[in-house]
Amino acid sequence: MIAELGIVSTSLALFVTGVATLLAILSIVLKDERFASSARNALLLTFPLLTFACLLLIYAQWTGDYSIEYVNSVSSNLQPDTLKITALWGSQSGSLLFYSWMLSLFSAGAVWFNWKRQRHLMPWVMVLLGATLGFFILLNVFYENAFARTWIDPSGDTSTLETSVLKPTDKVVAYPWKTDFNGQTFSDYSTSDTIPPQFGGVASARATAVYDGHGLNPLLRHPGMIIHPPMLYLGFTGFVIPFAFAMAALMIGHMDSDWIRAVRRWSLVAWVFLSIGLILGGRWAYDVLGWGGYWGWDPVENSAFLPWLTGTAFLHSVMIQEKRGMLKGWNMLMIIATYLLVLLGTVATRTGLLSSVHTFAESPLAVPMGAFLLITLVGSTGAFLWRGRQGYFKGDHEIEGIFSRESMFMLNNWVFFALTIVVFWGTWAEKITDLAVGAGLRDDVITLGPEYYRTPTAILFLIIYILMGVAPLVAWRRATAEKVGAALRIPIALTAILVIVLIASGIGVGATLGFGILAFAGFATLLEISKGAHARHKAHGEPYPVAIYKLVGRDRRRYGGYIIHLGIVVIGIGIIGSTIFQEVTQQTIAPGDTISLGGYDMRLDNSLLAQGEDDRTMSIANVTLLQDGKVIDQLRPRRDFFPSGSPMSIAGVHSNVKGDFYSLLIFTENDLVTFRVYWNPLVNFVWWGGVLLIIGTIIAAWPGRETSVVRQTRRTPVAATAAAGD
Amino acid sequence: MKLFTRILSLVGILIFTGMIVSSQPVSAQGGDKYPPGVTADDVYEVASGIYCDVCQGVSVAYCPSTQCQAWREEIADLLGQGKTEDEIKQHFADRYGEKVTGVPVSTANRRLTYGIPIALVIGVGLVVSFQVYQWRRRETRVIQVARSANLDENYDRPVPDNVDPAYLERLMKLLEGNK
Amino acid sequence: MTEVTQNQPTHDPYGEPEIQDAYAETPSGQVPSKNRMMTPFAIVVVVAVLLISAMVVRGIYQNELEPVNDGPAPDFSLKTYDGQDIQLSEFKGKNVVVINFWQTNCPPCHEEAAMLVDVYNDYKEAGVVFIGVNAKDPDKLALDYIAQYNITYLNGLDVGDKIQKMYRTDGYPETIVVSLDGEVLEHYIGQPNETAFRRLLDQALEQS
Repeated sequence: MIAELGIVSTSLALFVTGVATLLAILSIVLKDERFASSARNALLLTFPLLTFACLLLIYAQWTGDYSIEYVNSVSSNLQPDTLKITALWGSQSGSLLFYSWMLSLFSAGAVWFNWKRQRHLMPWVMVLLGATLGFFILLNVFYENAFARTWIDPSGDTSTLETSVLKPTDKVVAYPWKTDFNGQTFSDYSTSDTIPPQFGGVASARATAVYDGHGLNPLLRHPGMIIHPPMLYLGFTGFVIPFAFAMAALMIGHMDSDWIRAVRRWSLVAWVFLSIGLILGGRWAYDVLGWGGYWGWDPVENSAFLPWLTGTAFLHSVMIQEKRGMLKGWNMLMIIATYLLVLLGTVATRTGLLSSVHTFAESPLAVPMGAFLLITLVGSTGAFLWRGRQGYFKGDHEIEGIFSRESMFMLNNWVFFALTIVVFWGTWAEKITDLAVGAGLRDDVITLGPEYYRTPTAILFLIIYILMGVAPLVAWRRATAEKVGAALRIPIALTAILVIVLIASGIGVGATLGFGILAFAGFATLLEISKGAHARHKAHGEPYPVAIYKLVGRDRRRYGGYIIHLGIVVIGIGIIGSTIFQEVTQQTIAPGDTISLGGYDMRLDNSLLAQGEDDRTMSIANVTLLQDGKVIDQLRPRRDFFPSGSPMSIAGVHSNVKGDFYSLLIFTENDLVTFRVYWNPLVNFVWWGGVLLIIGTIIAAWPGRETSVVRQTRRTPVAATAAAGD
Repeated sequence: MKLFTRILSLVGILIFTGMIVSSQPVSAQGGDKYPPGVTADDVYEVASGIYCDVCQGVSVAYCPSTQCQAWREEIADLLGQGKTEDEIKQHFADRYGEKVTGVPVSTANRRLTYGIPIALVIGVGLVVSFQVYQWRRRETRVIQVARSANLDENYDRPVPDNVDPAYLERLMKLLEGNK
Repeated sequence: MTEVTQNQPTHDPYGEPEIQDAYAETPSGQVPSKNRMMTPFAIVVVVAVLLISAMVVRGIYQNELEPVNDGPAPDFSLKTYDGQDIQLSEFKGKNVVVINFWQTNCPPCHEEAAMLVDVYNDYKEAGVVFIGVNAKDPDKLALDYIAQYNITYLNGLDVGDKIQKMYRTDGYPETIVVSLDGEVLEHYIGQPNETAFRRLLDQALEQS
């Protein structure tokens, strides 16, 4: 029943998106409003339909309907309840359904919230959203149906299991749902290893096939994995909205700032989810993968990082277009590139194009997804070039001073572009050089690993931090070195003091340079905020906290942006600290012995074996952490073994402001235990910076009245420039 | 036939996953045997710059597979023979392909690795700089026109770039004459 | 809020694309001009699009390819552990060749090793050549394995996984039978069934 309902609701959703797309096209061709309204209703309807489908799948996982192949592969009777729910995105077909659901959420949101204001863009927006959403639901229905069931021969011969959506003529469903066994359910017997006798005969054979599920991949049974994929998917799917508006603007030929205004908030929302997804992915890797790091330059991580880079570039360059009406083509290209990178990342990770720990095995999705990517790629860039050739991207203004806010933004975009190129080449070098191999130009491909990225990305990010400190102080249109220099005097002085302290402490050239640049960016940003607060304090006599609150409230976008900058600075501190000063050692010790690292002593008390609440066996070590002979913490590093899949190390971590003492149990032999112990200084700054970044984005993107600046921009760009003249 | 190929591929996948699972026995990593005088930390120092197929994005130092264990022991042997880190990397690249070292060890491939992104970034940078230079030239001219006409400096409309420069010159002269 | 709505552009959403306001009142009333700088920029965009398309198409095509299980066997050279340099094409027209891909830490490889040795001993007189291709093992481990199972046929390391790539293998063990005229007869994924394997070798030998 569940499966039937699921199949029907997803199929209906497919039909409805098809109708929405057709109606939207009709409204454009026939220039008839009524079709657009119908298209809107159809598009809105996909959201409840897909919500229903997702809930059905969750229900099936919850109750253990293992006749559904997907449920069988990701859920099991012993699985904790939370994981029974989050198994929705635990593997290919379910996560694809979840992905489509998010697409429908954003699509419905876009037509709902932007209907009136961007009415003229809507028909095309709906065509694009309908087609994209339709494509993904199509994959759900025809290629990776999450509701496909396992079927069995009526004789009970389990060697002829078959998985399909529709019932094969000569088969019956493998798990006859709840009531087939005198009202008793399998989960009543879930903990026993044998099939109860009353399920004997045919029923027994039918039951064995789907007696219990395989359960979620052990690596994914982590709190970070519960929330990381949804965030990443929200980030990924969210960028479809800016893309749809950009394409709509291209198609109807309105290159004014109207589409920009529509997508600014949407892209900020997508961007923050992508950021959270990346940070949580890092946290997950840090906790689960057991190598003491959080970022491995893995192809899948890179696939999510690439749209983040172009998206960030877009969020900056879009300000030039809003304030000065410049870079229309560039912004258009950035948003198209971001979406294409999202699609490319989706295709790469879902079809195994870039093999990696995260990828789903060989997939029937490769060809349809590849085709969809190519159509979108050629269609969007084609439309872009077509309008470009017609001169639609000509700016309202052109650059006035070589040294100006505009040029700073352009420099910023160039550095982000450079980062994108560096990461893209690193990720795709194997496939690009394989083209050369195919053409007979080379013998072998080039495959790049983490070593490749470190130096170039470090250099480019440091340039970004310098820009982050300087650019907000540079005036629009034309700036003078004297003025900027004067504004920078205090941050530079503070940085100089810090650098002297750092040199005196002897931490090395690289770290001093890195921390110095971060400090400069941080000081400059803090000073900008404090200047404003000070002015309010003087003018209105407000106490400082009130002054800061009101200041931020008055120009949320600007100060939200500053808070994001501070978050990025804090993340930078964490990255530099934990990369340059990480210490690691591996030693085998007996009970009573200690390992010393990072100023701590770790003493092994004992080790034991235990059974987990699911199917895991745990090898646990009890250790005591001492500092200067005093006990400061008890840790329990452990290693979990699963009946299938690789073992997982759960670190014992002592965390404080200075860093993490992170101990991994590697191996036990009799009472000897091998530990790998890390001292990860300042690593928590990465997570704290992430929180700051989220707060900043919420401040910047929180819906509210349009600020006066924006309204003035609509009427007279001149007044806006003057009003914004910072 | 289609079903047959599917079953075949399923069997293949099962064997493959079976291999992955079975190549990671309980004893992985802890059971490494190193020659005397070589510590785990020495090995990890080198192994953290070498990568295998099994654990992508995680170096041989941390990968729990038995293949990586074998490689760590090979590194330990080479360290025991007094080989340096670079020599060991070269040895691995020669045997198992350049992909294992993260960045190619051969000079030609290394140049290509860094040359391509640098060339792209600089190339696009030049195109953009040229564009900015052009914009600035035009914008300056527009401002001159606006100023000489005693207009507000905050001119409102751009002058399209398809206006004949000679016409602009004439306009400027005309405006100057009017002053 | 209302003010903003009132300020909406009054474009007819279904009308012909309008020329932007900014250009409507330009002195000469011209339509948007051809943007000259689009040209080098456009070339960059077009090249990027072509490159990415080619990359994706080739990537997907390569992934979709089946393991090599018919047609001419790709030629390769191999340096054996005892120092011989062999070339697959040397055996063409002279011997039936069995190529076995193995690794020491693959349990099925251990399981099939004795069977392979048996079959080799039975067929070497008849002119069947066995070539063991090792994947990624340090020499020490590989030689231990060879000694453990008394393997006497040719064996060598697949340097840089080149041979595995040529035959598009997916793991280990995999066994390929090459006929006298250099055609791939069979590509076993996993352990071959011994009876079928022997029958295939008999048939391959009959061809001569």
